[in-house]
Amino acid sequence: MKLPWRSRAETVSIEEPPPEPPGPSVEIHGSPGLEEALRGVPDDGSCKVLDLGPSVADNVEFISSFASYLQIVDAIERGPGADVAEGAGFGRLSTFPHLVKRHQRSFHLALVWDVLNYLSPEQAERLVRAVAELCIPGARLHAIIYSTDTMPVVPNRYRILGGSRLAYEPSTRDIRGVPNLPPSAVEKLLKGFRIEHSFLLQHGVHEYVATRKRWYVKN
Amino acid sequence: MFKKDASEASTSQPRAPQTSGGRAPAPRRGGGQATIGPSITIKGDVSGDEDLLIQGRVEGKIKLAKHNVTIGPDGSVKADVHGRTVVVEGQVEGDLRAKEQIILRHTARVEGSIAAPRVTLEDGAVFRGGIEMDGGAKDGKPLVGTPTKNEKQGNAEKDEPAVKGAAGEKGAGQSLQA
Repeated sequence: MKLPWRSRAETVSIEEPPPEPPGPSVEIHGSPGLEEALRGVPDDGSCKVLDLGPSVADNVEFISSFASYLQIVDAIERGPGADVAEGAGFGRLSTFPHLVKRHQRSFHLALVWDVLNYLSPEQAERLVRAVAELCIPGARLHAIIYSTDTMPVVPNRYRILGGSRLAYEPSTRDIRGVPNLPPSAVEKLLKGFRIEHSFLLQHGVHEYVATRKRWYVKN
Repeated sequence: MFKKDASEASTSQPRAPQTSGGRAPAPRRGGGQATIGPSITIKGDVSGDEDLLIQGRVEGKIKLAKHNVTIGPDGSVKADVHGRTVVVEGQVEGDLRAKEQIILRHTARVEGSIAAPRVTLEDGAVFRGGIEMDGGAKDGKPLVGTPTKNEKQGNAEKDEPAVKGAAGEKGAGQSLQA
């Protein structure tokens, strides 16, 4: 006698769903630039930080340990469906200074992580000018710029790990070409700032630490 | 206008709001939290003497300085919010101010400024604006080296800087490929 469940087992095949492709992997790298930039900001609790990236819980927690104010700009769309065209986030970038309350426009530290790669030279120049106008003389700027052949189509999310390391959290595996931004071009781009240190990391990312000049002539 | 929930009368902490699947919640009785249901839109100022859960839309100002305000996952607020504790799970366009704490849950989308003695921001929350903080360095916390949760998870560092130097220094700058 054939048992009914056995017969069903013989005829019904259960297909397992195909394994999902692995998501983009998080990489952790040392950040000598961030470490250096943090050395130059006030440690008396008066520090004001301008972060052009998105809100990240660990970053807010870390920055709150020494700062009195944090402005999060979240300049460029991330994640699935994001508009990845060059300069896609510039609309928000160009208006963000107006969102900063007047009495807070005196930043000591600007975090410009993975933004300049994604803007046209003209847009990047306007952005840096806006940042310079919001920073006090002597303020530090920490920039992360890809110097490899390719980079993710949308900027990474960066998570501060203890002030000396960063977790690079890509939201996609898709890549695109990197605009040509050699150190000489970056130096020219960072008008209003003087580059104090640059670090070329083994994984092809360039970190710059710059100081806001005392005298800055607006164009 | 506001209904009370008996189950929340004994606690001062904001509770996770009950989602109602797009329908207005059933009337509540005898408690400490009022609810603005998903079908309700208020234009104007909101004030009162009890905790508030917003699942609908509010445009104007919300002043509940002694009470907890929760903007639920379906809630949409275009207003400045002032509460004792403010918890956001939905959307807010406006300034948030709290006497004790502000919590942005992972579903929150907030554009505005935040001011509170304690601010908690969950990963996934989208926030654009300013956060006024206490400035922890006054308490002697170190600038560099503060451990975070992720460090405790044991992720290994991948590499060290290959080159260190001033911009334009030989070796520090490499030409890039377009």
